[in-house]
Amino acid sequence: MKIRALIVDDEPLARKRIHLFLRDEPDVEIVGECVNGTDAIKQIGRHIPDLVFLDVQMPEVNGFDVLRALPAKRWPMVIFVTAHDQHALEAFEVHALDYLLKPFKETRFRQALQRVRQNLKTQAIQGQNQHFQEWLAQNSAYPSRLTVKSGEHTAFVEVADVDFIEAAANYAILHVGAINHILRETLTNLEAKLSPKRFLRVNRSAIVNLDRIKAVEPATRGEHVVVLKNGKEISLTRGVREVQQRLESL
Amino acid sequence: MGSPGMRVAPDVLIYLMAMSACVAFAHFRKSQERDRRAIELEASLAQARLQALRMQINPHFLFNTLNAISTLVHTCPQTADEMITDLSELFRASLESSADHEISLARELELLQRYLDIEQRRFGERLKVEQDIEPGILPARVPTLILQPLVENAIRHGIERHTEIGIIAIHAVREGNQIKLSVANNGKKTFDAAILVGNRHGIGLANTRARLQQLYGAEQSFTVSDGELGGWTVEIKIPFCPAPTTKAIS
Repeated sequence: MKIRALIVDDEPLARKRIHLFLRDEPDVEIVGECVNGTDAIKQIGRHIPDLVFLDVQMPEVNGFDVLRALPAKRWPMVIFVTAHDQHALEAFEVHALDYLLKPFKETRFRQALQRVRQNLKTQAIQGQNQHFQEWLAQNSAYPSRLTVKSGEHTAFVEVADVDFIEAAANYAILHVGAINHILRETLTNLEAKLSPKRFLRVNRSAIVNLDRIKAVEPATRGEHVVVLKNGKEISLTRGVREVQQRLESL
Repeated sequence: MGSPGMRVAPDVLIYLMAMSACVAFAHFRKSQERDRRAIELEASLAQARLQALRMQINPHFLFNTLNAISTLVHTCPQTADEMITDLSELFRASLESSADHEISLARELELLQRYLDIEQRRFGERLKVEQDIEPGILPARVPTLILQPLVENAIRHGIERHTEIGIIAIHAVREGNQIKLSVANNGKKTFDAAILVGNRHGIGLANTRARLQQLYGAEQSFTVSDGELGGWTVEIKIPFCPAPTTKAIS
């Protein structure tokens, strides 16, 4: 994809110089030239360029005014091109990519463009990262409630209220205090919906809310059971140490 | 008892001595006055040169001009060539050390043209210069570098600050035993014409005014008024003097 550039300078020969140098850059497309700041604000709004070569000292509306007139998130990449070095600090403050002092060498100009490309690359990577992070955030957010349908009736059960879940053929029974909800869902599916930080599959047919475990006790033949706060005992087929670790990390 | 003549003689002597002392003192005062005036004139010419130089090394003018030249080197070497010599000539005139307080109007206009040519190329269509010079007065003497600061002011406050086309009108006519030089611009008035002479922006004009006073005393006038073009007009009237004078030595 081409870099779409806008040239802003009130002096025709100054615009021409940039135009001239950009002719040798096949990945840059000039979308417009502006003769003053007001014109620049208009054209940035219309073309939404990726890059703006921006003169500072222009009649009525100067280069900084142009940026100030636009919402910061719509700022294109900016290369200031000016005869004055005293604006450099302010340019830095508005996150200009580069600051070219007139007259500038051609190599210096190419360098500035290289910086633009580098910046685009970084932005792209950051963009991808951001997408991934968003995807992750969406998918790692375990639902805080489960939907339970029975006939016409739909109930919502707070995950935190579930004591344990028991498998019964193709159904799962949610034990919520004194109430049992029956869900048409396999235990494995349910397990995936629940945060591993809060729930543990203690055996083939039970998931326990770690918060409800009162004790882990030895049972017959070297096996163990987890004892819930409500007194219920569920056999444990996992390693005791793992369970202990999980409980300690709560 | 001496003769009455003998009695008179000492009085006459004293009288003559007193007279000659007075005359000598008057001469001394006069020559002192002349020295002071010469020094003042010297200083104001130096000031005018310094001012012209300051304008030329003003980064906005100098670097934008060099930037324009650097473009023309690629696109139009002939024009670049001319611009370099124009710039050199301007510098040479202001670096000159001759004590000529006055030059011919023709020479003054020639220098001015160098400056205008540069500005014309920088601003292109945005700058329109109208010149109306009475051909008969071209040999007339005018203060060295009198027009340049006026025109520069007109451009800086007219063209460089406004987006519309800027017009600079330069007139030189003979009015009886005086010549009238005027510089006018169009556009919005950024500040009151009267203030213009006194404030920071008007330093150039204040110096011009003082210089005229030193050179011509009561025989000159300097006015700033609302111009017919919408901007303001600076008008100078000085004695019409078609041949070189000895002002430089006086």
